[in-house]
Amino acid sequence: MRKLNSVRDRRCSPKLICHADKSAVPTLVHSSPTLSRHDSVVGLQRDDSIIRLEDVYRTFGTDPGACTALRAITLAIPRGNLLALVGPSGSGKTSLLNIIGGIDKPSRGSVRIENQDLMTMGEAKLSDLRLRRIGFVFQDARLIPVLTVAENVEFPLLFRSEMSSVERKRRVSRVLESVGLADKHERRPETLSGGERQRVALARALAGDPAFVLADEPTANLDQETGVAVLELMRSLNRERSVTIIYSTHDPQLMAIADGVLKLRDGRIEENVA
Amino acid sequence: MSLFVSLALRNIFRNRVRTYIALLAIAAGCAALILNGGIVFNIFGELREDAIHSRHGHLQIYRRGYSEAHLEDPQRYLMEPQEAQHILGIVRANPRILRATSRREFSGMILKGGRYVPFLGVGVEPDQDAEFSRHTTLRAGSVMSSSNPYGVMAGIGLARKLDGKPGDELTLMTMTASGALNAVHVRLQGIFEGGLKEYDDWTLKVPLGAAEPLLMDNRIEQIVLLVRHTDDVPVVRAELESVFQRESSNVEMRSWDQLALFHNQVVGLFGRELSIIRLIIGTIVLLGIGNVIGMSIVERTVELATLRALGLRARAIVALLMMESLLTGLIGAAIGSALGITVARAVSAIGIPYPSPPGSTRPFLGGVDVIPNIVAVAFLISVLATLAAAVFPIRKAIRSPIASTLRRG
Repeated sequence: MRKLNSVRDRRCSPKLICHADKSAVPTLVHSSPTLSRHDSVVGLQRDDSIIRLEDVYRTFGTDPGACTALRAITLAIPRGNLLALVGPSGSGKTSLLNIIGGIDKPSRGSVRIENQDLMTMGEAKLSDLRLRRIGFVFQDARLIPVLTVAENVEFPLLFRSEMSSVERKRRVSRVLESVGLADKHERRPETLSGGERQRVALARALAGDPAFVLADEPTANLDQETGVAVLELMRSLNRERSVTIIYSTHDPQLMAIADGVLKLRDGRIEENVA
Repeated sequence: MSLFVSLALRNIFRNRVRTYIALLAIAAGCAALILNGGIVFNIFGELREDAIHSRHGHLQIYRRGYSEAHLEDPQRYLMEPQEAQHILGIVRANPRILRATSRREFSGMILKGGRYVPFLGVGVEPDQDAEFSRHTTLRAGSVMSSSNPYGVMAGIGLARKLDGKPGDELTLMTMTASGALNAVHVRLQGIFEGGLKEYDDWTLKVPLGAAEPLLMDNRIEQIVLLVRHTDDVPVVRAELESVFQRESSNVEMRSWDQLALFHNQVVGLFGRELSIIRLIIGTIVLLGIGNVIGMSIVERTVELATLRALGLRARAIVALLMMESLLTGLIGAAIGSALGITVARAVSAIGIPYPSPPGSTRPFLGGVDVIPNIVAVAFLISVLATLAAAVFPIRKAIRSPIASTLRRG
């Protein structure tokens, strides 16, 4: 924990403002002077927040028996943040990440990523957005077992038509080096430890130079020490690349590394901690 | 090899046992199509060669209008000897033509031992006839020769009706062109089996040397040609038609496939049957591998959802899975083609004893022809069936919502 805190202490943490329901204007914004106008914003305007959600609900199923996973979520996340999403199981962490990542749509409300309205985008545009602007890290890495480490990182880049083969290889080498796997290019995922697999997943997420990375419980399958190491790596990449990273965790110890913490309970934002 | 194709190839062999089952199903279907088609075409080939080398030759030349109206006025369409010789000179100059001979058909009665039996006579050049009758089996006696101009050959059915055997004396009677009744004495030299019952029951081959005094007419009815290679028939026909047109010859031609009605009916019938067999085998392949391919896709639904979450469009997923199916189909079809061709050659080397085909009188030893077109169609059907088998599971995989699929995983 000391180490985590020391990492955190080196960075100026932005102020996060969060409100649990619409009547209280639930918004999470950067506190920099240029962004102070958002403090009371409900109707979202162009700004440098990378992610903005307004009055988002997500309900699964239909009445009777419908389950509401997210309720009245309104928030704005500034660029370059390392944000922890915490809460018990079923609190809506994954649902929120899915909606921010454009792999699920809210039942109600609006979602804007870099000022683009996700609600009006078709599947193809959403795919392009995910390919170019969003990186994903899943709980169990979800690497393709038949590909090597380098190929796993390179594979999504194949679909970036503007990127040459040379450029892809260059990026793969660079990003694998940055996650400390420069010597494991040709290894298959099954020969790696859990922590190494998560680092490959992180490399895959970062290889496309995304605007932000969403990591859904990236340390859940790792022991404490490895989990901390992965988060430290995320922290350092966040700082080096100024890439926004949002990770979910239910481990209170792992939230200390973040610039801000968003606590969810029963689908509502319960608390934010800067 | 691109990473995309490489991934597709590696995915195929993720579960080796399942892949081998799929490849076996595809290969078996492909080989079955090749063998079935090869057997049917071998039978077609046998019937074709029977028609050509027992009865019709490859091409027949007549006076113009013969095909339409010779039954109404047969005398009008007979060629004078000089006219026939001129045509024979033209056709024998064509290097693709192996043989050319003259024929004259007529009908009459055979008198033997007080019994009258009707017959259909074919006046032939005895020395040429053996080459034109390669598929005719000599059942008794010997073949005709120019040294014995009154030695005739009867079809096996006609010989039975006559209760004849080689060496028997026969009296042939017919009407001459002037309407008079005429007769000649001939000797039954041989008994043949042409393979077609109707033909064997009625046909008497008579040397033109005996037919001319019987008919009191030395004109001939048709010139029959054998081409060196059956596939060259259309080319030879076109070449000859060009020459005849240039010389303003008053002739017309018919090729064997226009004359061999029985062959055409059999080919039409079994050709349709072959199409149905293809459909059935294609469906069996599709159902056989559908489950295997479906399993391989369904169990990777979470992985596919992960790829979609990473930004791959649905069409990229479709392309990846179709590539896997295509490669599976290509590998299976290649194995099946090799297997089919090998088995076809092995079976052909041994031979398949067949009973008489419909309308025929002779059993024959068949084989399995390796027909490039059939191999290509079998290959294509196998690959298409594999692709078709993947359509439903792919559709299901790309339609499943990403978020809920990932949650299940």
